Amino acid sequence: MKWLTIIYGVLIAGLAGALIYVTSGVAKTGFVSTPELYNEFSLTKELQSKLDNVKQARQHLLDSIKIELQVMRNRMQNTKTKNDSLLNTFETLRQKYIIKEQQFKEENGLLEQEYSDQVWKQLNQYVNDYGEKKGYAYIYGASGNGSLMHADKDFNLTDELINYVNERYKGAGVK
Amino acid sequence: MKEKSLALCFIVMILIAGCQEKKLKTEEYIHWIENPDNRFNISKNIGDIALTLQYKPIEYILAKEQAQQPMENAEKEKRFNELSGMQYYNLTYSLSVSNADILKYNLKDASEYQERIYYFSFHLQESIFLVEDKDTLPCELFHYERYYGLSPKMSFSLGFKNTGKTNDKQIMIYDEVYGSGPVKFIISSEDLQNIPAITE
Repeated sequence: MKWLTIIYGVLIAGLAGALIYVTSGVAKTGFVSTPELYNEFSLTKELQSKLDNVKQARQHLLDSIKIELQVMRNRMQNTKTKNDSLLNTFETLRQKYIIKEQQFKEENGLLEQEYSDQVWKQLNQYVNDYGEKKGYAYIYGASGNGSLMHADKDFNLTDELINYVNERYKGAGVK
Repeated sequence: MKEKSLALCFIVMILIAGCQEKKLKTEEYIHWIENPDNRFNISKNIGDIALTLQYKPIEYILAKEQAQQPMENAEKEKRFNELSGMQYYNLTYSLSVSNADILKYNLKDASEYQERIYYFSFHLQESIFLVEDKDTLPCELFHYERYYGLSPKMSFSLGFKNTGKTNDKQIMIYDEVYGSGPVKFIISSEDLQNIPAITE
């Protein structure tokens, strides 16, 4: 009976040692679906709605100039005699519309880029904090562009990371 | 029956002990409030920028003032009343990657340095809000503590109207200089209810 206990003890110790040996050399890894994480991040949603408002306000301004132009065009078409002053005003307004349209297009692009940079800055930080806290050596980003061709779904951290980054953004300290 | 009564007494005693307000000496109280583990001193790194928010209960401000210059009870009460209409915070900006001056971080040119000082002196206040329940409160008291290059950090004293609400307090800072986007800090109502008292 005593021998049996010793043998079991040695066997268990051996198994535990082997397990430690095997796992100690393996770096803890996981992956995250970056488009999903980006889209589900509260900051993305906030900034997207802000961007939509800005774009909408600019579009309203363009639309009002467009309507004004349309009214002028109708007036010109209905007037039998040539009205140079109206034609000049129409041309000036048309130029203004073209310039504004181009300016808004550029500014919308810049704002979109600025917001995207802000989102990535915070996301990178929070994912990094998560990785450090949970002891991950690597967290791969699967973006569907071939950077990560296959990953076992058991290593998918997307849902957990979405919760984590949103909590952190809300104001929680490093957990 | 006797055992049951004893067990009940024991449970009631534990509950009473658990419900009793924690009391600390002045110095311990200051350390407790400043200890990040108690979540009234919260730090957030966004890229190379580190932001730290310190919530300052009125008792904490008084304790700090008392440590510098002892006050009589009447004087203390007067000061408490003076402070009680507002809630106070400290915000610190620093670099998480080095001890360099944050004001000079990633400067494009010399004029940008002056622009930053101007922004932090006069416009940061407009970019800071406190959200309590459904209210968004503007920052009513704002003081930029200038170090004139003697410290790599930037420090701001903030004050918001004290609404007396016991909800979570969320501070929002819209950073326009370092490109971090909106940065938020939260102080939970649960933590606020567990602030210890100061023993005399």
